[in-house]
Amino acid sequence: MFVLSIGEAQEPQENTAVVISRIYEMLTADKESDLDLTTLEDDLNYFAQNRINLNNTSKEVLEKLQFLSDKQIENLLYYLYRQKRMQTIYELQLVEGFDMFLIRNLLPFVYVGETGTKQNEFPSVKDLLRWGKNEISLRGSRIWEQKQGYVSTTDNVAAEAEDKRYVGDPNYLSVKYSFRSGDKIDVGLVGEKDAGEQFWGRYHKGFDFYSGYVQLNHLGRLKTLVLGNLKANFGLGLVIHPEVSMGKSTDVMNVLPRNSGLQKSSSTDEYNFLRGIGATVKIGKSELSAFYSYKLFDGDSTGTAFSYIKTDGLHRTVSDLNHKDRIATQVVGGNWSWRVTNFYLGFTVVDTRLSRTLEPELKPYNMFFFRGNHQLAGGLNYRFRLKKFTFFGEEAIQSKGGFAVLNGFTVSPVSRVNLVALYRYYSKRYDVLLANAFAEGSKVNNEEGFYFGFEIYPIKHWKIVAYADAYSFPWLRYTVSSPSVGYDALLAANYIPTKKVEMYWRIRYKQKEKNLTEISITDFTGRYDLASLRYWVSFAANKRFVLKSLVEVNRASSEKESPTWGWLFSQEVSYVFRKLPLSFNVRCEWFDAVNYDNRIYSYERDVPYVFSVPMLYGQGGRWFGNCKWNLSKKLSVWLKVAQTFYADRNTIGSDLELINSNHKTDIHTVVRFQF
Amino acid sequence: MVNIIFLFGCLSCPAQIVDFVPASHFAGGVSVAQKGEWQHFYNPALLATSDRNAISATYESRFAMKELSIQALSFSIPTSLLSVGASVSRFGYSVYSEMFAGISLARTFDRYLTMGVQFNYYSASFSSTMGRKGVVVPQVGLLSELIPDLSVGFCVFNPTCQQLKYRDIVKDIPCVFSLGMQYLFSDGFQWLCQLDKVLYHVCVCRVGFEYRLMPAVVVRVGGYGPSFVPTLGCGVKVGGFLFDVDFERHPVLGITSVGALQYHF
Repeated sequence: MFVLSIGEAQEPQENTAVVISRIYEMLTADKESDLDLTTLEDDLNYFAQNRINLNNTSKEVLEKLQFLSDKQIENLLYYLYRQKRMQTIYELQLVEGFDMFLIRNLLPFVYVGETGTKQNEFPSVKDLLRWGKNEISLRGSRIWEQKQGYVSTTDNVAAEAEDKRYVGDPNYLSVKYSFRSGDKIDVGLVGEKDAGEQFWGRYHKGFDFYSGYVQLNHLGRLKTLVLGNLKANFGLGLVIHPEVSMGKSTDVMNVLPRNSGLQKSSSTDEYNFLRGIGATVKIGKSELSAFYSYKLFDGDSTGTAFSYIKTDGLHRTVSDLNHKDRIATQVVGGNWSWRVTNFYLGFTVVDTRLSRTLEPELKPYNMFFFRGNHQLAGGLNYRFRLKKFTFFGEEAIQSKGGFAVLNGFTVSPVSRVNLVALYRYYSKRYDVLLANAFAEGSKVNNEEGFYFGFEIYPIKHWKIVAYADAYSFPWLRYTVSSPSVGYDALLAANYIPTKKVEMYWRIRYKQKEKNLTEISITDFTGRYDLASLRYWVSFAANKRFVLKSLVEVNRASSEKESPTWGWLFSQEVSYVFRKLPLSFNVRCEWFDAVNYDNRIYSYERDVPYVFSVPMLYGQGGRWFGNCKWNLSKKLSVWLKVAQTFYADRNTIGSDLELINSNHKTDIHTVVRFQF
Repeated sequence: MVNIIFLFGCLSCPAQIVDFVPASHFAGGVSVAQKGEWQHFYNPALLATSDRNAISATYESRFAMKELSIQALSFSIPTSLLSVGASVSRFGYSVYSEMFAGISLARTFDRYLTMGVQFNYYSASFSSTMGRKGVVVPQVGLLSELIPDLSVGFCVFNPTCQQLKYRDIVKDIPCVFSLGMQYLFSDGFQWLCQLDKVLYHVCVCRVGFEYRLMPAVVVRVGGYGPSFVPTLGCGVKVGGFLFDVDFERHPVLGITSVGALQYHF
């Protein structure tokens, strides 16, 4: 009955947004940076309109639903194999490890249809065009209040030349076009200009960032062919993995990145992608992938060396423009993988060459960081099942010395319990430019740690998740001038008493070390900790009207300072009109977190392809209104207005980002046309 | 010597609730609510839940330092009236040593109440010239099976806050309250939780899972904190012998291992 009620509760598009919100909230439960979920949103939007037939699907297709863990995909495929076919969608409840929380996320994207043979032949151009979907979306945004960087001066040109003024206007603008026909072809173009960047003028003409891609799948032996901007996700991320991975989140079991291979990059992220060509060939039970990339990125090069890589993609000042595209990087890599029933083995090699030598300014904490212009890294990853255990891992080395290992297992001793344990050791000399693996630090080096998590369904309607991660850093880190240790833990209880009410409690605790700032002659490190408690409840009065409330309290303390407290309360209302093709949600929140350590991150739904987790600290409040209007079946418009206001300050930001006001208003709009 | 004393000072959250007895070899160091699994110096009520005579030897290697190792011996005899057990443990080196011996009595009254008491004698030898001095330390334990698969255990060690006083030396023996739970998801899988509160110290939370891989082999994973210390162990049964081993890793001090050999007859 639960399945039916959830399935009928909302429109598919609305469901997609809700599911993305849930996933994003899970992901950001433990992170403090913005994540780019463009690929996930692309796939979910596509599957919301082109649902997956569970009786005629494959592992590769199900892997695009990133909220499904490998274990859950295996269990679903095993169920389908054993039962031959699903008779009804209610059978999802019979799949091992599928609970109401998961089924609710899955329903908008799947259906139970007829069984059939998988279409492995590449269709004709006529069929591709006939079944293909085109989409054009235009996104614009700006901050209403004027920032210091946009204030006119008596001599704007001189001010811009001295980096005292942005060269462009305060509007953000992006255009995306995509064409997708089933899982066979995916084509897209992206143009983007950030706020402050010049669209047409003396410094620049046109968009600041362009991206394009063509991806073909299942072209004979060729499993995948990607041209243009692409991502290569192999192994567990010790060698190369630009796509976002779950890491530590409330989805405690889904800790590892998906080994999704080569795929297009449709994101507006201006750093985290490859640009070139990649292909995967299937040979029996093996797959062989190769890719080549040549792209330019920003850096502060002087002569033949540069000291850092600029990854934000912002070119708002003359200095930014001078640093633009200064370093060329060439990446050549490959992966070989072999899969039999319960065993998977993969080998990845990546060779990265830079046109100039990376020479960061030598500091004690970075003395083992990568320096040079050539790096070769290789990794061996595995995965196998042994009874109820699934073991996995990756071992990697790099040419400049250093190694990294990541090994673990998951086990479901009974259907109501899932456990995961993970051990990682990244030596201080291991610093691979394209690595992105499970880690507490921002880089995959100088770290050792144990992660242990479990997920339990003790009684009906309840789900308890918890994890604990203990780690140590054998060498110094930025702002930590000694080897240090730390740990963090999370305990969350989810409760869905009825189809209308849903709630969770979440406790987090984190303890790390950092330099004690008040000591200026010699850096001494000290312990600091942060504990937070969050309660969230959602009440759906009916299918169209939903109320959501959130309360969070946190406490930050350190060895030298007395504890400080922060809190947040928020109330959200969502409504879907019955007769109008209009839906909206409005939220108001109040916070008091005077100390920066007490800052609170609160995820909020935004327009498509925007992922917003504002950082709230100080005293004040925030509200936003977000609406979607389907003008026709093909044309939809989103508008979001959000404002943060402070009671404890008269200015916001600093330097060119300074706003001489105690409030800041963001306006976002998206127009999407599908045909 | 200084190093050893320093190490003891660093143990803000040891695996064992009392320094001079070996740590529990169960997942996460839990010890108060496992039915049928009595361990020396932990909840004496558990003695009444085992139905076979047993003799066991335990060795703990703390941070792989010989001087910090602890040895223990125990046996238990269940009878229809009372279950009786005795244990002895030793910690120390040439110039300093501690002995701990205890006799336990336990009885199950009904499903909801199993009770045990233990009378321990703690003695310490501070040097060859100063001799040995001891004190009696009581211990009380309870176990209740609230519902068929859920048991709750409680144990208090040294509720009278006994101290060892010898000349100018006053050695505090910790007063420990432990509350734990055992939940059986199935015959082969159990979830264990425990809270230990040492008087005047921070509360320690323990969580562990025990999974019977095959009839003769169990694996155990868990952890306790703060700060979080993971544990990993296993048990193997061969005839009447039972061999358990458990490892844990302190983030700074390194690995501690506990091995226990039991014989049931």
